[in-house]
Amino acid sequence: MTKIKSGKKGLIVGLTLALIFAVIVSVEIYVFFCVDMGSGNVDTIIRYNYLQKKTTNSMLYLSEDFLDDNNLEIVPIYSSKPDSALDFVNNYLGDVILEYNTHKISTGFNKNVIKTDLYRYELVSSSDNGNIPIRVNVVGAVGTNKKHKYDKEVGNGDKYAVLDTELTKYFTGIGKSYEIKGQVGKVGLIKKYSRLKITVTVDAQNVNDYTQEQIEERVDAVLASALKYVQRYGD
Amino acid sequence: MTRGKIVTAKVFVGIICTVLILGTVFMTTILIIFRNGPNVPYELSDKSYRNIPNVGGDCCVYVSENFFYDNNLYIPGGDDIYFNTYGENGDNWIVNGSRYRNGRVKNLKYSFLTGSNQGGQFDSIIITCNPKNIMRLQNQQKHNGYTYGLKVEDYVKDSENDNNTMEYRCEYTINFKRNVNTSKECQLSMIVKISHDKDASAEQFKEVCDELFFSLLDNVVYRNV
Repeated sequence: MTKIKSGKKGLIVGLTLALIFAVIVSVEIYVFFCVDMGSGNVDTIIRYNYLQKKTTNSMLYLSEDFLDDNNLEIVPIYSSKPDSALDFVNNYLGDVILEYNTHKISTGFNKNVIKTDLYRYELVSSSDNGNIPIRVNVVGAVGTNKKHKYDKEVGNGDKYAVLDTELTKYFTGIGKSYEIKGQVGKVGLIKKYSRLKITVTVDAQNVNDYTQEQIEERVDAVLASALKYVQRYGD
Repeated sequence: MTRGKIVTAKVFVGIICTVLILGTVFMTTILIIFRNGPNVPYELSDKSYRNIPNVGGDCCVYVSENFFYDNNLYIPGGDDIYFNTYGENGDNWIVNGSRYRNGRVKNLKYSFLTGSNQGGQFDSIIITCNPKNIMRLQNQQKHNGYTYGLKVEDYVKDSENDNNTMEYRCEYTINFKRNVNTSKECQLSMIVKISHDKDASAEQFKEVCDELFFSLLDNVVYRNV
Protein backbone atom coordinates (compact mmCIF):
# COMPACT_ATOMS: atom_id res chain seq x y z
CA MET A 1 0.00 0.00 0.00
CA THR A 2 2.89 2.34 0.89
CA LYS A 3 4.49 1.57 -2.44
CA ILE A 4 1.22 2.36 -4.22
CA LYS A 5 1.02 5.77 -2.45
CA SER A 6 4.64 6.47 -3.36
CA GLY A 7 3.86 5.59 -6.99
CA LYS A 8 0.96 8.05 -7.10
CA LYS A 9 3.13 10.76 -5.58
CA GLY A 10 5.80 10.13 -8.24
CA LEU A 11 3.19 10.34 -10.94
CA ILE A 12 1.93 13.71 -9.62
CA VAL A 13 5.47 15.09 -9.31
CA GLY A 14 6.29 13.83 -12.81
CA LEU A 15 3.18 15.36 -14.33
CA THR A 16 3.81 18.67 -12.52
CA LEU A 17 7.36 18.75 -13.89
CA ALA A 18 6.05 17.91 -17.35
CA LEU A 19 3.58 20.79 -17.08
CA ILE A 20 6.30 23.22 -15.97
CA PHE A 21 8.54 22.24 -18.89
CA ALA A 22 5.64 22.55 -21.30
CA VAL A 23 4.94 26.07 -19.98
CA ILE A 24 8.65 27.03 -20.33
CA VAL A 25 8.77 25.79 -23.92
CA SER A 26 5.52 27.58 -24.77
CA VAL A 27 6.79 30.86 -23.27
CA GLU A 28 10.09 30.54 -25.17
CA ILE A 29 8.30 29.88 -28.43
CA TYR A 30 6.02 32.87 -27.85
CA VAL A 31 8.81 35.25 -26.82
CA PHE A 32 11.28 34.32 -29.55
CA PHE A 33 8.96 33.75 -32.47
CA CYS A 34 5.80 35.75 -31.88
CA VAL A 35 6.93 38.93 -30.11
CA ASP A 36 8.73 41.65 -32.04
CA MET A 37 11.72 42.26 -29.82
CA GLY A 38 12.98 45.22 -31.80
CA SER A 39 16.14 43.45 -32.85
CA GLY A 40 17.30 42.50 -36.30
CA ASN A 41 16.72 44.47 -39.44
CA VAL A 42 13.15 45.39 -38.79
CA ASP A 43 12.07 48.80 -39.98
CA THR A 44 9.14 50.79 -38.72
CA ILE A 45 6.99 53.09 -40.78
CA ILE A 46 5.43 56.03 -38.98
CA ARG A 47 3.42 59.11 -39.84
CA TYR A 48 5.42 62.24 -40.55
CA ASN A 49 3.75 64.03 -37.61
CA TYR A 50 5.28 61.55 -35.17
CA LEU A 51 8.82 61.80 -36.46
CA GLN A 52 10.30 64.11 -33.84
CA LYS A 53 8.41 62.48 -31.00
CA LYS A 54 9.71 59.04 -31.98
CA THR A 55 13.32 59.96 -32.57
CA THR A 56 13.69 62.54 -29.75
CA ASN A 57 16.53 65.03 -29.57
CA SER A 58 19.41 63.11 -31.10
CA MET A 59 18.51 63.94 -34.68
CA LEU A 60 18.36 66.90 -37.03
CA TYR A 61 15.19 67.69 -38.97
CA LEU A 62 13.92 69.80 -41.82
CA SER A 63 11.11 72.04 -40.65
CA GLU A 64 7.67 71.91 -42.24
CA ASP A 65 8.22 75.42 -43.62
CA PHE A 66 10.63 73.84 -46.10
CA LEU A 67 7.74 71.87 -47.54
CA ASP A 68 5.46 74.90 -47.70
CA ASP A 69 8.03 77.26 -49.21
CA ASN A 70 9.08 74.80 -51.91
CA ASN A 71 5.61 73.50 -52.66
CA LEU A 72 6.52 69.96 -51.67
CA GLU A 73 4.45 67.09 -50.42
CA ILE A 74 5.53 64.03 -48.53
CA VAL A 75 5.28 60.72 -50.39
CA PRO A 76 3.08 58.34 -48.40
CA ILE A 77 4.09 54.70 -48.12
CA TYR A 78 1.44 52.20 -49.11
CA SER A 79 1.30 48.46 -49.27
CA SER A 80 -1.10 46.19 -51.04
CA LYS A 81 -3.09 44.36 -48.44
CA PRO A 82 -5.20 41.36 -49.42
CA ASP A 83 -8.86 42.33 -49.13
CA SER A 84 -10.22 39.07 -50.40
CA ALA A 85 -8.90 36.05 -52.26
CA LEU A 86 -8.70 38.11 -55.46
CA ASP A 87 -8.63 41.79 -54.53
CA PHE A 88 -5.99 43.90 -52.89
CA VAL A 89 -6.47 47.27 -51.26
CA ASN A 90 -3.91 49.99 -50.71
CA ASN A 91 -3.03 50.13 -47.07
CA TYR A 92 -1.52 53.39 -45.81
CA LEU A 93 1.46 52.58 -43.61
CA GLY A 94 2.85 56.04 -42.90
CA ASP A 95 5.36 58.45 -44.40
CA VAL A 96 8.72 57.92 -42.72
CA ILE A 97 10.81 54.77 -42.43
CA LEU A 98 12.73 54.31 -39.20
CA GLU A 99 15.62 51.91 -39.49
CA TYR A 100 16.86 49.94 -36.56
CA ASN A 101 20.56 50.10 -35.83
CA THR A 102 21.58 49.01 -39.29
CA HIS A 103 24.89 50.78 -39.19
CA LYS A 104 25.92 49.60 -35.74
CA ILE A 105 26.43 53.16 -34.54
CA SER A 106 25.98 53.74 -30.84
CA THR A 107 22.93 55.97 -30.83
CA GLY A 108 23.05 57.24 -27.29
CA PHE A 109 19.28 56.88 -27.19
CA ASN A 110 17.45 55.55 -24.25
CA LYS A 111 16.84 52.05 -25.53
CA ASN A 112 13.52 51.96 -23.78
CA VAL A 113 12.33 54.72 -26.06
CA ILE A 114 13.46 53.52 -29.46
CA LYS A 115 16.48 51.95 -31.09
CA THR A 116 16.55 53.91 -34.30
CA ASP A 117 19.65 55.24 -35.95
CA LEU A 118 18.26 56.46 -39.23
CA TYR A 119 15.06 57.86 -40.66
CA ARG A 120 14.14 58.51 -44.27
CA TYR A 121 11.32 60.03 -46.23
CA GLU A 122 10.70 61.50 -49.64
CA LEU A 123 9.12 64.70 -50.87
CA VAL A 124 7.90 65.57 -54.34
CA SER A 125 6.72 68.76 -56.02
CA SER A 126 3.07 68.95 -55.20
CA SER A 127 1.77 70.53 -58.38
CA ASP A 128 2.76 71.80 -61.77
CA ASN A 129 3.51 75.44 -61.07
CA GLY A 130 5.93 75.92 -63.92
CA ASN A 131 8.95 74.66 -62.02
CA ILE A 132 10.84 71.52 -62.92
CA PRO A 133 9.31 68.64 -60.92
CA ILE A 134 11.72 67.49 -58.24
CA ARG A 135 12.11 64.75 -55.69
CA VAL A 136 13.77 65.40 -52.33
CA ASN A 137 15.13 62.49 -50.37
CA VAL A 138 15.73 63.27 -46.68
CA VAL A 139 17.81 61.01 -44.45
CA GLY A 140 18.42 61.89 -40.81
CA ALA A 141 20.91 59.84 -38.82
CA VAL A 142 22.97 59.92 -35.67
CA GLY A 143 26.71 60.39 -35.96
CA THR A 144 28.60 61.83 -38.91
CA ASN A 145 30.34 60.32 -41.86
CA LYS A 146 34.11 60.51 -41.48
CA LYS A 147 34.59 60.34 -45.23
CA HIS A 148 32.71 63.59 -45.80
CA LYS A 149 34.32 66.99 -45.60
CA TYR A 150 31.95 69.31 -43.75
CA ASP A 151 33.73 72.46 -44.84
CA LYS A 152 30.85 74.82 -45.60
CA GLU A 153 28.88 76.69 -42.99
CA VAL A 154 25.15 77.25 -42.62
CA GLY A 155 23.93 80.55 -41.13
CA ASN A 156 23.33 79.04 -37.67
CA GLY A 157 26.87 77.67 -37.39
CA ASP A 158 26.14 74.12 -38.53
CA LYS A 159 28.58 72.72 -41.06
CA TYR A 160 27.71 70.94 -44.24
CA ALA A 161 29.40 68.91 -46.97
CA VAL A 162 28.67 69.33 -50.65
CA LEU A 163 28.64 65.72 -51.80
CA ASP A 164 28.20 66.50 -55.50
CA THR A 165 29.63 69.48 -57.27
CA GLU A 166 27.93 68.46 -60.50
CA LEU A 167 24.79 66.56 -61.42
CA THR A 168 25.11 62.93 -60.33
CA LYS A 169 23.06 59.83 -60.96
CA TYR A 170 20.84 58.62 -58.16
CA PHE A 171 18.37 55.75 -58.04
CA THR A 172 15.39 57.74 -59.29
CA GLY A 173 17.14 60.29 -61.48
CA ILE A 174 19.89 62.88 -61.52
CA GLY A 175 20.64 65.52 -58.93
CA LYS A 176 22.89 66.60 -56.09
CA SER A 177 23.30 65.91 -52.43
CA TYR A 178 24.31 67.91 -49.34
CA GLU A 179 24.97 66.54 -45.89
CA ILE A 180 24.57 68.78 -42.85
CA LYS A 181 26.38 68.09 -39.61
CA GLY A 182 24.93 69.56 -36.45
CA GLN A 183 25.65 69.28 -32.75
CA VAL A 184 22.75 67.71 -30.91
CA GLY A 185 24.18 67.37 -27.43
CA LYS A 186 27.21 67.12 -25.19
CA VAL A 187 28.28 64.37 -22.83
CA GLY A 188 31.05 65.79 -20.62
CA LEU A 189 33.54 67.23 -23.06
CA ILE A 190 32.36 65.08 -25.93
CA LYS A 191 30.05 66.75 -28.41
CA LYS A 192 27.37 64.63 -30.01
CA TYR A 193 26.67 65.22 -33.68
CA SER A 194 24.02 64.09 -36.09
CA ARG A 195 23.70 64.39 -39.82
CA LEU A 196 20.98 65.27 -42.26
CA LYS A 197 21.44 64.26 -45.87
CA ILE A 198 19.34 66.04 -48.45
CA THR A 199 19.31 64.78 -52.01
CA VAL A 200 17.42 66.70 -54.66
CA THR A 201 16.84 64.94 -57.97
CA VAL A 202 14.87 65.26 -61.15
CA ASP A 203 13.25 61.96 -62.10
CA ALA A 204 14.85 60.03 -64.95
CA GLN A 205 11.65 60.22 -66.99
CA ASN A 206 11.77 64.07 -66.93
CA VAL A 207 15.50 64.52 -67.49
CA ASN A 208 15.26 64.83 -71.27
CA ASP A 209 12.59 67.55 -71.02
CA TYR A 210 15.08 70.07 -69.65
CA THR A 211 18.65 71.16 -70.23
CA GLN A 212 21.35 70.21 -67.75
CA GLU A 213 21.68 73.90 -66.82
CA GLN A 214 17.97 74.18 -66.01
CA ILE A 215 18.09 71.05 -63.90
CA GLU A 216 21.21 72.16 -62.06
CA GLU A 217 19.76 75.58 -61.34
CA ARG A 218 16.56 74.09 -59.91
CA VAL A 219 18.42 71.51 -57.82
CA ASP A 220 20.87 74.07 -56.44
CA ALA A 221 18.02 76.42 -55.50
CA VAL A 222 16.17 73.75 -53.52
CA LEU A 223 19.34 72.59 -51.76
CA ALA A 224 20.21 76.15 -50.81
CA SER A 225 16.68 76.60 -49.49
CA ALA A 226 16.93 73.40 -47.40
CA LEU A 227 19.91 74.76 -45.49
CA LYS A 228 17.70 77.46 -43.98
CA TYR A 229 15.27 74.99 -42.46
CA VAL A 230 17.46 72.67 -40.42
CA GLN A 231 16.11 72.37 -36.92
CA ARG A 232 16.40 70.34 -33.74
CA TYR A 233 13.83 68.75 -31.51
CA GLY A 234 12.04 71.47 -29.55
CA ASP A 235 12.90 74.32 -31.95
CA MET B 1 -2.76 -0.58 -8.85
CA THR B 2 -0.37 -3.45 -9.35
CA ARG B 3 3.38 -3.15 -8.94
CA GLY B 4 3.87 -3.72 -12.65
CA LYS B 5 1.54 -0.88 -13.56
CA ILE B 6 3.28 1.49 -11.13
CA VAL B 7 6.65 0.71 -12.68
CA THR B 8 5.21 1.26 -16.15
CA ALA B 9 3.73 4.61 -15.06
CA LYS B 10 7.05 5.69 -13.53
CA VAL B 11 8.96 4.74 -16.64
CA PHE B 12 6.40 6.55 -18.80
CA VAL B 13 6.62 9.76 -16.72
CA GLY B 14 10.41 9.43 -16.66
CA ILE B 15 10.53 9.22 -20.44
CA ILE B 16 8.21 12.24 -20.83
CA CYS B 17 10.31 14.28 -18.36
CA THR B 18 13.55 13.30 -20.11
CA VAL B 19 12.15 14.21 -23.53
CA LEU B 20 10.87 17.54 -22.22
CA ILE B 21 14.14 18.38 -20.45
CA LEU B 22 16.17 17.54 -23.55
CA GLY B 23 13.62 19.41 -25.68
CA THR B 24 13.88 22.49 -23.47
CA VAL B 25 17.69 22.44 -23.58
CA PHE B 26 17.64 21.93 -27.35
CA MET B 27 15.05 24.67 -27.96
CA THR B 28 16.91 27.12 -25.72
CA THR B 29 20.19 26.44 -27.54
CA ILE B 30 18.59 26.83 -30.94
CA LEU B 31 16.76 29.98 -29.93
CA ILE B 32 19.90 31.56 -28.48
CA ILE B 33 21.77 30.82 -31.71
CA PHE B 34 18.94 32.18 -33.87
CA ARG B 35 18.07 35.03 -31.57
CA ASN B 36 16.41 37.12 -34.24
CA GLY B 37 13.74 34.56 -34.90
CA PRO B 38 13.20 32.32 -37.86
CA ASN B 39 14.66 33.28 -41.20
CA VAL B 40 11.32 34.38 -42.52
CA PRO B 41 11.82 36.93 -45.25
CA TYR B 42 10.17 40.27 -44.77
CA GLU B 43 8.15 41.53 -47.59
CA LEU B 44 7.18 45.01 -48.45
CA SER B 45 4.17 44.22 -50.54
CA ASP B 46 4.90 47.22 -52.72
CA LYS B 47 6.50 45.33 -55.62
CA SER B 48 7.49 48.36 -57.62
CA TYR B 49 11.00 48.93 -58.94
CA ARG B 50 11.42 51.92 -56.61
CA ASN B 51 11.01 49.66 -53.63
CA ILE B 52 13.96 47.38 -54.39
CA PRO B 53 16.50 49.37 -52.31
CA ASN B 54 14.08 49.50 -49.36
CA VAL B 55 13.94 45.72 -49.33
CA GLY B 56 17.54 45.04 -50.32
CA GLY B 57 19.10 47.57 -47.93
CA ASP B 58 22.85 48.19 -47.87
CA CYS B 59 23.92 44.74 -49.03
CA CYS B 60 23.48 45.41 -52.75
CA VAL B 61 24.11 48.05 -55.34
CA TYR B 62 21.21 49.29 -57.47
CA VAL B 63 20.53 50.37 -61.02
CA SER B 64 19.36 53.94 -61.53
CA GLU B 65 16.12 54.45 -63.44
CA ASN B 66 18.16 56.49 -65.91
CA PHE B 67 19.42 53.18 -67.29
CA PHE B 68 15.95 52.25 -68.55
CA TYR B 69 15.23 55.62 -70.14
CA ASP B 70 18.70 55.90 -71.68
CA ASN B 71 18.34 52.48 -73.34
CA ASN B 72 14.65 52.49 -74.18
CA LEU B 73 13.86 49.65 -71.79
CA TYR B 74 10.74 49.22 -69.73
CA ILE B 75 10.92 49.64 -65.98
CA PRO B 76 10.27 46.30 -64.28
CA GLY B 77 7.53 45.87 -61.74
CA GLY B 78 5.40 43.24 -60.02
CA ASP B 79 6.26 39.77 -61.23
CA ASP B 80 9.40 41.01 -63.01
CA ILE B 81 11.13 41.46 -59.65
CA TYR B 82 12.35 38.59 -57.51
CA PHE B 83 14.13 38.29 -54.19
CA ASN B 84 16.03 35.31 -52.85
CA THR B 85 17.21 34.50 -49.38
CA TYR B 86 19.88 32.05 -48.44
CA GLY B 87 18.43 29.18 -46.54
CA GLU B 88 18.88 25.51 -47.18
CA ASN B 89 17.14 25.99 -50.46
CA GLY B 90 18.68 29.18 -51.81
CA ASP B 91 16.29 29.39 -54.72
CA ASN B 92 13.10 30.03 -52.82
CA TRP B 93 11.28 32.98 -54.27
CA ILE B 94 10.10 34.92 -51.29
CA VAL B 95 8.27 37.94 -52.61
CA ASN B 96 5.40 35.86 -53.86
CA GLY B 97 4.61 34.72 -50.35
CA SER B 98 1.48 35.90 -48.63
CA ARG B 99 3.21 36.98 -45.43
CA TYR B 100 3.26 40.71 -45.03
CA ARG B 101 5.72 42.65 -42.89
CA ASN B 102 7.75 45.80 -43.25
CA GLY B 103 11.48 45.71 -43.31
CA ARG B 104 14.61 44.53 -44.98
CA VAL B 105 16.44 41.27 -45.10
CA LYS B 106 20.17 40.86 -44.72
CA ASN B 107 22.07 39.26 -47.59
CA LEU B 108 19.12 39.34 -49.93
CA LYS B 109 19.67 38.69 -53.60
CA TYR B 110 17.45 40.54 -56.03
CA SER B 111 16.79 39.99 -59.73
CA PHE B 112 14.64 41.77 -62.23
CA LEU B 113 13.65 41.22 -65.79
CA THR B 114 13.33 43.93 -68.41
CA GLY B 115 13.39 44.23 -72.17
CA SER B 116 13.09 46.69 -75.00
CA ASN B 117 10.14 48.99 -75.35
CA GLN B 118 8.26 48.63 -78.64
CA GLY B 119 10.45 47.68 -81.58
CA GLY B 120 13.63 47.29 -79.58
CA GLN B 121 16.31 44.73 -80.24
CA PHE B 122 16.65 43.12 -76.81
CA ASP B 123 14.48 40.09 -76.11
CA SER B 124 15.18 40.08 -72.42
CA ILE B 125 17.64 41.44 -69.92
CA ILE B 126 18.00 39.92 -66.48
CA ILE B 127 19.94 41.86 -63.88
CA THR B 128 20.86 40.27 -60.57
CA CYS B 129 22.69 41.57 -57.54
CA ASN B 130 24.01 38.93 -55.20
CA PRO B 131 25.74 39.84 -51.91
CA LYS B 132 26.69 36.24 -51.17
CA ASN B 133 28.16 33.38 -53.19
CA ILE B 134 30.34 35.70 -55.21
CA MET B 135 31.70 33.67 -58.10
CA ARG B 136 35.07 34.11 -59.72
CA LEU B 137 34.97 36.29 -62.82
CA GLN B 138 35.44 34.17 -65.92
CA ASN B 139 37.04 35.43 -69.15
CA GLN B 140 38.01 38.77 -67.61
CA GLN B 141 37.71 41.97 -69.65
CA LYS B 142 38.52 45.57 -68.84
CA HIS B 143 36.68 48.83 -69.50
CA ASN B 144 37.30 52.27 -67.98
CA GLY B 145 39.03 50.82 -64.95
CA TYR B 146 36.34 48.18 -64.37
CA THR B 147 37.15 44.47 -64.56
CA TYR B 148 34.28 42.22 -65.51
CA GLY B 149 33.64 38.67 -66.62
CA LEU B 150 31.99 37.85 -69.93
CA LYS B 151 30.41 34.69 -71.29
CA VAL B 152 28.92 34.60 -74.80
CA GLU B 153 26.80 31.93 -76.46
CA ASP B 154 24.93 31.72 -79.75
CA TYR B 155 22.52 28.83 -80.18
CA VAL B 156 19.35 27.71 -81.95
CA LYS B 157 16.52 29.30 -80.02
CA ASP B 158 13.94 26.56 -80.13
CA SER B 159 15.40 23.48 -81.73
CA GLU B 160 12.04 21.65 -81.90
CA ASN B 161 9.78 24.31 -83.40
CA ASP B 162 11.64 27.25 -84.76
CA ASN B 163 15.10 26.29 -85.80
CA ASN B 164 15.54 29.29 -88.10
CA THR B 165 15.93 31.62 -85.17
CA MET B 166 19.11 31.85 -83.18
CA GLU B 167 19.55 33.37 -79.76
CA TYR B 168 22.59 35.42 -78.87
CA ARG B 169 23.21 35.36 -75.14
CA CYS B 170 25.85 37.31 -73.28
CA GLU B 171 26.39 37.32 -69.56
CA TYR B 172 28.38 40.06 -67.82
CA THR B 173 29.51 39.79 -64.23
CA ILE B 174 31.18 42.41 -62.07
CA ASN B 175 31.87 42.90 -58.37
CA PHE B 176 31.09 46.11 -56.49
CA LYS B 177 31.57 47.20 -52.92
CA ARG B 178 28.19 46.77 -51.23
CA ASN B 179 28.17 50.33 -49.89
CA VAL B 180 30.55 53.15 -49.04
CA ASN B 181 31.16 51.95 -45.49
CA THR B 182 32.34 48.42 -46.19
CA SER B 183 34.89 46.44 -48.14
CA LYS B 184 32.44 43.54 -48.53
CA GLU B 185 31.35 42.97 -52.08
CA CYS B 186 28.26 42.07 -54.01
CA GLN B 187 28.15 40.66 -57.51
CA LEU B 188 26.12 42.29 -60.23
CA SER B 189 25.34 40.30 -63.33
CA MET B 190 23.48 41.07 -66.52
CA ILE B 191 22.24 38.48 -69.00
CA VAL B 192 21.17 39.83 -72.39
CA LYS B 193 19.30 37.79 -74.98
CA ILE B 194 18.82 38.84 -78.59
CA SER B 195 17.01 36.75 -81.19
CA HIS B 196 18.40 36.82 -84.70
CA ASP B 197 18.07 35.12 -88.04
CA LYS B 198 20.30 32.12 -88.63
CA ASP B 199 21.97 33.86 -91.52
CA ALA B 200 22.96 36.96 -89.54
CA SER B 201 26.42 37.08 -88.07
CA ALA B 202 26.48 36.96 -84.29
CA GLU B 203 29.51 39.25 -84.12
CA GLN B 204 27.43 42.43 -84.50
CA PHE B 205 25.48 41.68 -81.33
CA LYS B 206 28.54 41.72 -79.11
CA GLU B 207 28.89 45.46 -79.66
CA VAL B 208 25.22 46.07 -78.87
CA CYS B 209 25.47 44.08 -75.64
CA ASP B 210 28.73 45.76 -74.65
CA GLU B 211 27.16 49.19 -75.05
CA LEU B 212 24.27 48.20 -72.85
CA PHE B 213 26.62 46.86 -70.18
CA PHE B 214 28.75 50.01 -70.21
CA SER B 215 25.57 52.03 -69.78
CA LEU B 216 24.72 49.81 -66.82
CA LEU B 217 28.10 50.56 -65.28
CA ASP B 218 27.35 54.28 -65.58
CA ASN B 219 24.09 53.79 -63.74
CA VAL B 220 25.08 51.68 -60.76
CA VAL B 221 24.24 53.53 -57.52
CA TYR B 222 24.22 52.86 -53.81
CA ARG B 223 21.17 53.10 -51.64
CA ASN B 224 20.86 56.70 -50.52
CA VAL B 225 21.87 56.79 -46.83
